[in-house]
Amino acid sequence: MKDHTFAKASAGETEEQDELAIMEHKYKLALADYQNLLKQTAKERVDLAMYANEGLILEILPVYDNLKLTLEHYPPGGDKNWLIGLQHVIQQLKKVLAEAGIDEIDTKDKKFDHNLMEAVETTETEDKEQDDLVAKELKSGYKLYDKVIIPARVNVYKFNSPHPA
Amino acid sequence: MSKILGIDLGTTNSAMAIMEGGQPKIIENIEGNRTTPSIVAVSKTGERLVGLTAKRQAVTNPENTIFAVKRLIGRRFDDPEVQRDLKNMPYKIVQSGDGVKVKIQDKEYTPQEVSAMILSKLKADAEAKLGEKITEAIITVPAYFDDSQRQATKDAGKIAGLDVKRIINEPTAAALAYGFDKKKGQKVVVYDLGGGTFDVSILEISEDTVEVKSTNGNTHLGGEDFDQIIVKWIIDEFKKEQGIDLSKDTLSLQRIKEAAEKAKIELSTVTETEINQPFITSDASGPRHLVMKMTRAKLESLVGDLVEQTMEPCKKALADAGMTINDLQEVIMVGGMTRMPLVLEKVKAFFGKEPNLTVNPDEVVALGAAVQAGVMQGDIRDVLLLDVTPLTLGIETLGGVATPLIERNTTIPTSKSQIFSTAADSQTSVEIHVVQGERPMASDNKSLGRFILDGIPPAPRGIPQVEVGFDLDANGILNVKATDKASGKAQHITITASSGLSKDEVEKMRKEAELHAEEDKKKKDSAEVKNQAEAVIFQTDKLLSESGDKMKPEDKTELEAKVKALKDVKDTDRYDDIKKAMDELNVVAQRIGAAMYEAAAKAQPTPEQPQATTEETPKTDTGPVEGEFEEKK
Repeated sequence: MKDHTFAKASAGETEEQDELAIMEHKYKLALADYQNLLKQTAKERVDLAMYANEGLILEILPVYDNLKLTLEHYPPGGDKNWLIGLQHVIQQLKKVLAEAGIDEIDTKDKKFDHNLMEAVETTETEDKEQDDLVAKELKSGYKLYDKVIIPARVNVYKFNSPHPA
Repeated sequence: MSKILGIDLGTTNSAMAIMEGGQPKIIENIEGNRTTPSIVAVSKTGERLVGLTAKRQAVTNPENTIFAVKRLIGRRFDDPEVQRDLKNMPYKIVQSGDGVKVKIQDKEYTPQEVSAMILSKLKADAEAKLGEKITEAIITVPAYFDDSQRQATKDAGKIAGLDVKRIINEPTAAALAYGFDKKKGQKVVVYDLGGGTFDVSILEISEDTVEVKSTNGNTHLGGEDFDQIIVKWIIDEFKKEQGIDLSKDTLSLQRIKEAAEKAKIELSTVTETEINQPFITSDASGPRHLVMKMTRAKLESLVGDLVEQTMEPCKKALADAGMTINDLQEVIMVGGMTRMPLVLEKVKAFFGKEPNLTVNPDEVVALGAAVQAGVMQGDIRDVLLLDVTPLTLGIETLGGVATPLIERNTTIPTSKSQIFSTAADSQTSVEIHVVQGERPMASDNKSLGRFILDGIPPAPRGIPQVEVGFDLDANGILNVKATDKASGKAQHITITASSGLSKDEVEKMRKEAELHAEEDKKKKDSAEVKNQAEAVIFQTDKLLSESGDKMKPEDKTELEAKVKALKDVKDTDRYDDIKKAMDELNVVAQRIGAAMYEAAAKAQPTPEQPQATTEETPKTDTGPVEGEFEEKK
């Protein structure tokens, strides 16, 4: 069967052959779309497998954050053993999250990185060396494999030149 | 031929979509998100940032982070909206001739150039996702945009390397996404309550156009205002309960903002939610916790005024269009805030119609832009030829069960086939009874036709393979063919009435299926229990007749008693008794079968495989036997 293309068919052939050429073109378009969709779906399946737990992890991470907060509010003179127990629990949860692909974003003494962090506030500094460094981490950030699922919320130093004497 | 990208270029967020397989589909950006913040920045290192990365550094670099540039595009410098933004925006807005520019570091950019940066990112992300070049786009704009603003938006596309085939109105795009452009002579209202703006538009759909008859709204009313009210309530309540003002603490405020937005969203589906933020702050007495409940009623009492504020523009839009609510046929909801039950309730009460919310309100405008793109590419003409079958098509199998072959909403044309078998030994004919509907029992569905395939070679039940094929063409004509694989004998029927039901009848059948779902499930389960009981009785009788002499006498007696007990109940409606008798029979049969294996193993080193005695569904190696026909006389 002769392979009519849409362009050939439009060069003065019969109406029926025009229609046939159009139909063939559309059929090929639909087939191509379908095959591209198959490829895209295959890729999406791989992504889905990798990030399938993302929804559940996003629910768990705030609870993990709150658990870590309890350590910061340990009262002086409190039961040390109780504290150690809590630290073990947190460590356990950290391990489970790590095995699920979670990596905590490190912000300590780092330069502000918009790919990993979100600046929530700034602290003025007269030390130029400190400009754009993370002053304080307000909320932890996390990556799931290579994807930032929660950026670290940070306070960033902003250099303000000192007033002249 | 490359695809045309549909783009919703929003004030706060943008989205993009494409036609795929005749359906509009949102394309995610490279960060994996379905929307992209409409924000552009140049970082301290001179790096241009667009979208989420620009948003994240906004606080450290406010003078060089441009957001809401849509408020400036195509406007003159002396425009009141520009003058308002001049005072409120953290970035510099400067006059350039009659027009406007924004300053990023030392350079000045027109709003078109800034918008072009956003469009460039969307274009690049779409190309990365689709693996093909994108050179053409449809971009949406608010209905109230004048010629200058529309031209400026088109110019932005050009700067970004996009040939903008058309600029369409956002409410029109929403109507396209719902397919309302096909509803000639109808009048539609589009209620758009987004993150920062509210727009209401009245559309009239005629033969080949969708006309915006009027538009009204509030350019500074949106979801963020709702969040602010909830945040204030939380702070006030905490102050009342614990005497501490959290509004000055950045971290606490951040947590409260997120909790407020989460509570607002949750209360769209539940009537009460808990706001739980442990260790929200601390003072001399130790840590303090923010734990409070919020009901939907409370939320509605807090934000009721804001929702009420949207009604006046609706009245004005109707008046400007010269219409009353009785002239309208449809209400379309756009924007995330329209998911709130109070908003839906007020809109329904005002317009007297059920609002349309089935298309994601955050994405409906981008999807509509893609539909327009599809029309321009000729895709939609093809889509119009492709229909779906509105109800499930299947055949009746053993026990009167309706076994589906083509599920409802399957795009046609389509073909499906399945292998079936016989219900009784030496059954030489099968009746194919074609049914249509969603109920699990064939008698509750619509009968479309029946025919008989005979000449099946006699064989034990479950052995013959009869392939039943359904072929449904684009016109809804169903061809059903049954072929006995052993003899090659075939029979078929053509049914023209498979799509003959009216829309109301289809809807009625679907609703009935939902209404009777529980009792239907019980009926089907009961039929399946009876089928299983029949199969077990058959297998056990066979075992007793073929291997009864190999059993211990007491085992044989016990097995006979159990199978008799099952035979006594199998025709009753006492399905629990049938199941119990079947389970007891299976336990005994398995024990006897194991004992027979053991005895055979002791007698010779390599015992033959005995017949299975407790198979409920006979299986073949060549394919699934899903159901069995009853022999019809």
